[in-house]
Amino acid sequence: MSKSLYLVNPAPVCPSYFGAEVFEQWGFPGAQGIADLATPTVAALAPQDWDISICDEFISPIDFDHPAEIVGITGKITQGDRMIEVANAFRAKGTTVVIGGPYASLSPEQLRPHCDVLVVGELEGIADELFADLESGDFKAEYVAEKPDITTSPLPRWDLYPNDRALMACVQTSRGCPFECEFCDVIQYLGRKQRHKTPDQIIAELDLLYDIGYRSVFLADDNFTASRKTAKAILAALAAWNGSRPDGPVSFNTQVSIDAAKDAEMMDMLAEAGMTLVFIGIETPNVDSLKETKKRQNVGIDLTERISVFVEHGISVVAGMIVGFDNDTKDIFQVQYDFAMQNAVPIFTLGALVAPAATPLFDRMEASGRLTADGSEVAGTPWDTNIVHMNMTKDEMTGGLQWLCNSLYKPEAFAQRMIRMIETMGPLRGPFASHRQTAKAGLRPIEAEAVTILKRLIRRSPEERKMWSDVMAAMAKKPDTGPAVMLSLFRYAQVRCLYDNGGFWEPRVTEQAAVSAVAGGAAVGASGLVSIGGSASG
Amino acid sequence: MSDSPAQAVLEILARETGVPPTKINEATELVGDLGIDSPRALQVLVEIEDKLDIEVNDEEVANLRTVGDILEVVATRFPA
Ligand code: B12
Ligand code: SF4
Repeated sequence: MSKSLYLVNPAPVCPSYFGAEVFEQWGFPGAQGIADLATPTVAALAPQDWDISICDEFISPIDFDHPAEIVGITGKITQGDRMIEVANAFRAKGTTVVIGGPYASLSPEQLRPHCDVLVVGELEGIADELFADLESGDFKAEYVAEKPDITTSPLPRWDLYPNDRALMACVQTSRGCPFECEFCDVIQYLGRKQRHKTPDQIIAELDLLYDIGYRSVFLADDNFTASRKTAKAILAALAAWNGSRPDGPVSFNTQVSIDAAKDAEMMDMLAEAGMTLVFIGIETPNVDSLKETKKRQNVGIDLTERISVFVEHGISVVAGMIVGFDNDTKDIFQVQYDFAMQNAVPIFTLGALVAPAATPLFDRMEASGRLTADGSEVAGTPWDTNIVHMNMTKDEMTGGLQWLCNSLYKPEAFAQRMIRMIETMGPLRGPFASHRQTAKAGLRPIEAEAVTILKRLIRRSPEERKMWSDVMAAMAKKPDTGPAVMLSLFRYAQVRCLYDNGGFWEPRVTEQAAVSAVAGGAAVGASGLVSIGGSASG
Repeated sequence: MSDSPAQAVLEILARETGVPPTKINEATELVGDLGIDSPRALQVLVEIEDKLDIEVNDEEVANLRTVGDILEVVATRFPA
């Protein structure tokens, strides 16, 4: 007999760099920066005669009176506490609760006591068994999955998702990453062998999302360019598809590693497909730290020059940075600042080194007695960490990071990097070059809300007003950079939301030198918990 | 000071786009004819709002396609 299933993506404990909490900060309804792909995917893997509905709590409240017989909960580590609360609430009224997703897969012991069924790993290979068991009522307490072939994954059930409240859609093109950065849990979750969807599958997902109305899509890869040959086959398909969209092209964002910049054909293909922004884990300009953490692809190259290659191809870069490797000394904050300011990168995601549970770094810290009991293992929580850093006390780390974050996001410093990006950026490429004049007139309602947020941001202080007029003056000479400027400005609004939210925004700390900030510890704030993205990708 | 809110709007559009005010009318399309991209649109809105001391709300922003659309919104704030 068919069942009813309520799939829930619970709210996080804190905002993140790529989130969209800034909508609520400015009085709009909840929103997602990138639509949640887990819930529509699980919905597609469930029996299609079941009565399925989705709640994304980033967007709207959970209906705790929902009559579904089964509740399915997904989530990442930042959602862990809320996953447990939601599970307990539904179990208390007798609903069968199934939990899966990245956090459940990487830290199963945290969630096992709170559900009827725990799913560890990717669902595709075990979906038939799981749902048949749930239908019969004779289910196991835990299902552990092998790594599935994803070329047979069904089309996600986007028809069930609140798409009007998400800025970008999401398509997963591959799973796994061949690199082995010490602090990253992707390998433990998805393996080192990268498994791809076929170009046809990806295009079918894009067709669906285009019809819904999305014009920007996040390609959820850990490292889109890791397998060059496959990435190029996908890019060729994307370029052909994107160049023939009836109502204008789609802008793609993804995560890549810096080594892609040395492949001229890859760079051209990224630009021609309509890639407009990439996230790159740069981590640190300190070469000894890069070696220590096994970020080999970043060693022995000029990072600034490679970053510029992307920008010259019309692709903005968001760079993930980490401080607190064993080879970092107290001058690292100034070193990171100087590095950031010489790059054509407006948005940096910054945080202290943390050791997520399943990583080799966690094992090394545990073996050397350097794990702290009460710290956060969420990458990019600027004033918190779960490890004892080698050359800094916790206070020194917090003070230094607060100085670094505030210094980099002072409107004046942000304007300088925006202008550097504008000056470096090449002309619009691929589908956007031919669509300049026919750019879509009219905005989706959520995009119009974003415009209102930006209007208010610009007026927030004389410094922000000046930042905007300086950026506009630079942009007037390079009109092609308009979309990149708008995107960066929106991300800046979200960064300010994060820092405001955690009491981390305190521009006065930048009036002292980095070294005194480190010595003094955090000036203010440090009361809340704000996740600001960290890196762990690309 | 401009004579009327509508005139103020036209002046701002002309200054921001470099198109002479005489070539701008109600039917002029913001994107197609004036080539206003999103940052420029943001700038124009901020200037109009500051000059006329109004706020164009997000629903109105979503529906702006022509110069006439802007003038219509402005007219609702300054009834004759
Ligand atoms: C896209 C992405 C994002 C997007 C998310 C957009 C969104 N709205 O969800 C953005 C950029 C915003 C993001 C942010 C963050 N992310 Co992220 N992200 C990813 C990425 C690259 C892909 C996730 C995805 O969409 N997968 C597609 C779906 C279909 O697959 P899935 O979620 O893996 O689910 C599968 C199974 O787990 C299972 N399943 C999932 N849910 C459920 C539920 C039930 C009931 C069942 C039965 C099965 C099941 O079925 C699916 C198909 O097999 C992964 C890495 C990766 N390759 O997985 C990291 C990853 C999930 N992120 C991670 C982290 C740490 C974060 C941040 C905390 C980073 C930070 N410091 O800010 C934030 C948290 C944001 C938040 N939610 O609070 C970690 C999670 C580790 C952990 N222990 O939880 C990962 C694994 C990688 C990493 N180290 O960065 N992320
Ligand atoms: S940080 Fe990026 S490149 Fe390194 S292992 Fe993780 S996903 Fe791969």
